[in-house]
Amino acid sequence: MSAAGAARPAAAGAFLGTAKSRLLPASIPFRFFAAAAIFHAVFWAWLALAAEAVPHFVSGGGRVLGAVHFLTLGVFLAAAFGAAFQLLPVATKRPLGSTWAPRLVSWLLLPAVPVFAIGLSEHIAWAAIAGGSAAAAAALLGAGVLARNLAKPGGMIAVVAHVGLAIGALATLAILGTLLALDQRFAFLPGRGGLAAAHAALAIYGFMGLLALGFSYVLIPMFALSPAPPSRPALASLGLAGGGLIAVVGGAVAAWPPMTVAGIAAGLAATALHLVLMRRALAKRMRRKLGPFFVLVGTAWICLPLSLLLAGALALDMAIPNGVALFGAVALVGWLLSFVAAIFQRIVPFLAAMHASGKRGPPLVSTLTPERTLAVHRFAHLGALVLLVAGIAAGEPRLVQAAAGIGLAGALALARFVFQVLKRMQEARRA
Amino acid sequence: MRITAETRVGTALAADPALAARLIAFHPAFKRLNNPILRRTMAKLVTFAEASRVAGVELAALLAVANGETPPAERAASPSPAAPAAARPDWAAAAAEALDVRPILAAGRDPFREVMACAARIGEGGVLRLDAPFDPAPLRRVLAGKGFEDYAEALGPEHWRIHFRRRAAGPPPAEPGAAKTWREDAAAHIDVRGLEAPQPMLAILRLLESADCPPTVIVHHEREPLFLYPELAERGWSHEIVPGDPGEVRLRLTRGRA
Repeated sequence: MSAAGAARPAAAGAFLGTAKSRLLPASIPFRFFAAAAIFHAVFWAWLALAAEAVPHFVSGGGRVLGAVHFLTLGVFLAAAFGAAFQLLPVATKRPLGSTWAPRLVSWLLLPAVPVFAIGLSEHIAWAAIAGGSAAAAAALLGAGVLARNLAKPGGMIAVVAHVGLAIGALATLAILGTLLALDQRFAFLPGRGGLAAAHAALAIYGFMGLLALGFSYVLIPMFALSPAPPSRPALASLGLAGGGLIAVVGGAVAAWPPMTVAGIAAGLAATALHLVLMRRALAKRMRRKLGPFFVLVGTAWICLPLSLLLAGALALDMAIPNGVALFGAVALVGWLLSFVAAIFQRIVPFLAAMHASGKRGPPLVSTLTPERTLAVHRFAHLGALVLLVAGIAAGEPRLVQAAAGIGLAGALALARFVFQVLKRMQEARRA
Repeated sequence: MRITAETRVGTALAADPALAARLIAFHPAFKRLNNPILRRTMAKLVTFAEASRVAGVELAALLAVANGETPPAERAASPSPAAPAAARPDWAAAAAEALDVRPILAAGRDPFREVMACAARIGEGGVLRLDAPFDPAPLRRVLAGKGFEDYAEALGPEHWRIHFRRRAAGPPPAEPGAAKTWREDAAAHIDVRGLEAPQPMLAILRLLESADCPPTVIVHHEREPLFLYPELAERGWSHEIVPGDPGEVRLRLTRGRA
C-alpha cells in the first residue's frame, strides 16, 4: 500500500494542508546534524590540545574557551536548530514556511563556528569578531524563524512557552556574545566578568537548558510512548526556571551574589519539578524497555541538578578545587552533551525513516540504526565524562587528555553513526 | 470502479452517471441526490457506509445495487438493524442557538458556512440546535473535531434535529483511552482530533495492540502523524491516506506490511 495514499477530493485536499508539507527537505536538518557530529569530534580534539589549561580554567580566551565554543555553537546550537526547525512545527501545528531562512542559518553558522573558535583559541581578534558576528547573526535569524512559527501556536502550550523563552535567551546571549568578542579587541565593556558569566548562564540554562526541558515534554513521552506531562506544572517549572535565570543574570551583571544564589535555588526547584513530571510520565509508559539511549538521558538528569549545586557553591565562594572547570564539565558535558547525544541517537534514525518512506512505507527505524556504533559512543562518552571530572578535580591534565582521547573516540563513533544512517536512508529511498 | 463501504458517494457518481438512478430506484432516501447542492457537497463527503445508515438500509444490499450486481427492484431495501437509541442527554433540552438548514437546502444553497459560523459563536457548554432533512453524519464528525458532542433525533421522515454542545476546554485528556473509538463495517475507527502530541500516537498504538483489534483501523486525525509511521512499521502495520472530511486527515491502517 502506498504511503502517499489515494486521491482526495480537491476541496478537502486543498483544505487539508497535510503535515507532509511540514517535513522539511532532508538536507536541512541533516546538514545541521552532520555538522554537529563533526564539531563534536573537533571539541574533544581541541580539549586534548588544551588539556594543560583545563583544570585551572576560570575565564579568558585561549584553547579552552575555543573548545567550549566548538561544543556550544558547533554541537549544541547546530543540533538544536536541526531538531527545532523540524520538530517545532509539530508542536505548533504550523508549517515552518519557506526553507531559505533555515538554509541561510546553516550557511552563516557552520562556517562561523571554526572561524570563531580558532579566533578565540589563538587570540586572532578579527577571526573572533567575524566568526562571532556571523554566529550571532545566524542565532538571531534562527531565533526569528522559530519565533515566527510560535505566533498563534496550535497546541502544546508548555513546549511552546519553553521554546519561546529559550529564543529570547538566545537572542540576548547572541548580542552579549558579539559585544564580548568586540570587547576582546577594543576593551570597552565595564564589568566584563559579570557579562561573561551572564552570557554563560543564558547559553547553558537559558537557551540550551530551556530548549532541552521544553522539548523533553514531547520527545521523552514520544520515545517512551507515555502520556505527556500536564501543562500546568510544566508551566510552573518554567516560571521558576525563567525567574531563576533572570535572577542569575541580574546577579552576575550587578555582581551581587545573593541574587545569583536565589536564582540558582529557583532553578533547582524548577529542575526538581521537571524531573518529577518526567518520572511520572515514564511510570505510565507503553514501551517497557527504554533502550540504551536512556542511560544518557539518565546521566543528563543527574548532572543537571549537580551543575546547579556546583554553580551555587561557586556563587557562595565555597572552596571547590578547580570549581569553574568542574562546573563546566558537569554542565556542558555531563548534562547538555549527554542529553543532546541521547536525543540525537533517536531523532536521527526517526527522521531518516520518515524521509526514506517510499512505496512500501517507511523502513524500520531499527534497520536504520547501527546499534553497535552507538554502544561504542555511549561507553566512550560516559568514560570520558568520569575521567574529565576526575582529572579536573585532581588538577591532573593527563587525565583530562585521556578523557579527551576517549571522548574523541566516542565522537567519531557518533559521527560514523550519522553517516551510516544517511547512507542507509539513501539506500532505502532507492529500494 | 468497485464500490466499497468507504467509497465516497460523490466519487462513485462521478465515475458512473447511471448510479444515481439505481440508488433512487433502490430507496427513496436517495432522491436527495437530485438536489444539486447535496450532490456537490454532502455526496462528496458521505461514504456508502454512512449513506446506508442515513437511509436506514443494509449496507450489503446498497453495495450490491451500487456495483450493478443486482437490479434495484430485486433487492428488498430492508432496513438495517436499528442501532439502540442513545438516551437523550439533559443538556439537549437547554436553551440553544437554533439553525434550520432545510429552507437553505430547499433554496439550492450549501448551508455549510452558516453552520460553521453558528458553531463558532457557541461558547463552552453552549448548545447549537440544527434542523436538517437528514442525519448529517459528516458534519457531526467535523464538529466533533472542533470540540462538540452531539445528540441526534429523527423527528419525522425528512426532519432530523441534531443538538451540538461545545465541550468545556481543559487540559488534554491524560489517558490515551480518551480518544473516541467505534466499530464500523469490520474496521475499528479511532478519532484522535483535539488530542495533543503524543496522545494521538499513544491512543492509536494502544488500539493496535489490543487483543480484539481488527486487521483494519481507520484513524481520524487533524494532521498527518509522521512520527507514527515508523512505529507502525515496527509493529508490522502499513498505512495509506484515504479521503476524509474537510480539515481531517484520515488514514487506513492495515495489519501486515505492503
